[in-house]
Amino acid sequence: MAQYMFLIRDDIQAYSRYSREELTALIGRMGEWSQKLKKAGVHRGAEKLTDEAPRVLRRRQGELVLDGPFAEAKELIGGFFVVEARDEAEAIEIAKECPALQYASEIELRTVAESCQVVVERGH
Amino acid sequence: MGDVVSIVPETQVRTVVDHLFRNQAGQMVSTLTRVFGSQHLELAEAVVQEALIQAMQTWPFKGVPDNPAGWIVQVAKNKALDHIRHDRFLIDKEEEVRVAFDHLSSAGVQASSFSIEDAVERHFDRVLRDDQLRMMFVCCHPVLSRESRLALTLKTLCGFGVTEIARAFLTPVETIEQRLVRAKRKIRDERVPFEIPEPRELAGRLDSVLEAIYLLFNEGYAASEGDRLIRRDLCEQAIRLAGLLASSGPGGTHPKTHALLALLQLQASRLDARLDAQGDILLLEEQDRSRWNHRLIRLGLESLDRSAEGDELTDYHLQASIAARHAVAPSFEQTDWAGILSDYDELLLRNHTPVVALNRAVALMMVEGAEAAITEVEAIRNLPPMHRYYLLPATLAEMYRRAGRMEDALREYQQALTLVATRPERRFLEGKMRSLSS
Repeated sequence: MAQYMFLIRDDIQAYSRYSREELTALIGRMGEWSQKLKKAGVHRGAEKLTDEAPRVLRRRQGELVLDGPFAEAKELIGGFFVVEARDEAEAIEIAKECPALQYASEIELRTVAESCQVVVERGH
Repeated sequence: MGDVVSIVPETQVRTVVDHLFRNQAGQMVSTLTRVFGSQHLELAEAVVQEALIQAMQTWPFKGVPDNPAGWIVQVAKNKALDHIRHDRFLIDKEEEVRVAFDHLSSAGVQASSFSIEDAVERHFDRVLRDDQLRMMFVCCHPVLSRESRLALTLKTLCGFGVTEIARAFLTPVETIEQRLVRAKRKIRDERVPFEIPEPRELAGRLDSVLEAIYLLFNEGYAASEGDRLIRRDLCEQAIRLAGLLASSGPGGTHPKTHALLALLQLQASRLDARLDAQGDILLLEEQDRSRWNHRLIRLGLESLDRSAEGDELTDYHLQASIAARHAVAPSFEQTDWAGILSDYDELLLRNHTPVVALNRAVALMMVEGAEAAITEVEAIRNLPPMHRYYLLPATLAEMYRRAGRMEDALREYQQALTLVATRPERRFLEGKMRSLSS
């Protein structure tokens, strides 16, 4: 088993055009989808990120500089889920059912690196 | 994994969200406006709006919290505090905002179950209810135009978005936006206070609130085109506001408030039975009376009793009395038509309009026969706005049919068809014409 992170990337402008009915339906369907993952014991967490424009802290010529906010971003990572799956193929199947995909969202699928496995192998 | 979409939990979410948007939002906007002052109505709306948006964005990820109303109140509180820290005119309001929100979160949950039957909540928190009452008197202030009163009431007290108001009134979004901007400017410029009027001006000010509630209900009840869900919401909200007023000192001591509430409850009892499976109009005569909402009828009759205390008699009393006579009748034929006719006689004396005369003629037909009614209707058919009102020839056609004058009936149905605006109305008339020839 491995953990996969589903980064939900939203088209902000398209999102703001949805009616209350559509958003209510999204909450309902997402709730059912998460519930199912929880029942299957593979739901490892979820968070919503705010729509505040991103900021970037980086080192430039030796100095730490804070860039942003990058307000022009049209797409933002709206939030994420961490889900456990046997392999990437299964993770993709789970992600395909995420109701957010019926809206103006994309899912970036990332595999969480398995740090403890290395330790186990060294122990051999 | 199978199909994820199932309908039950989604409808639960819908109930929760609808309640938050329609009722909790109106409460929060009202309470915040009391704290900020009516010149800052817009800010109060913005704070609540932001909180609602945050809920809609967060809950897909985190799920709906156990206490959604409490969640919203907490988020709105943080946003309100955030706003006033950046506004030098409001900076001293911090303590008041905290107190108001503590009150909202302790009292807010009790109002979280709402159905059209429960509109008259006997245990309203008085402080919070009075905030909504003050807001009603602001929104229906006589300095505002009648249309503005309706739009503003829906926006601030009933959580309607601009597009929803536009859908409810079949009016362009831009028009509604302008209407709201003008109304809020007027409230600022005229310094409309956020308060319940003094006893000596209360009766008059109450009239304009009752009228707005009545018009909102009618807008929702009219079985014409447009969004059925929105229209039902209008009826529910009108009943909720009338219930709020009736349960309060300022509104409840006036019998006309109870009369209006009775009228709305009795009319609303037929909401579900009024349309067939295709969404087409069913006349009173054709409705399955077992589908009427008997709990609402009982509540309506109770409100009507209460409206009889005191010697005030208003149009609402007479209309409610007519609605009650229909509501308790076992069938169309076994209705107290004589009673209804005398209510209409009284109504016509007070309010001589062709619409009342047309409705009275139906009662007259049941009491004295079709020919008497035909004479009455023919006499008003050319009066404006009757000459463009499809229900006049449609009603007349039914009278001719009952009098056995089928050719006249057919001619009137054809005339009615030239005046209809909506497809359900057209289908209704075409059905009637087919039944003439069969």
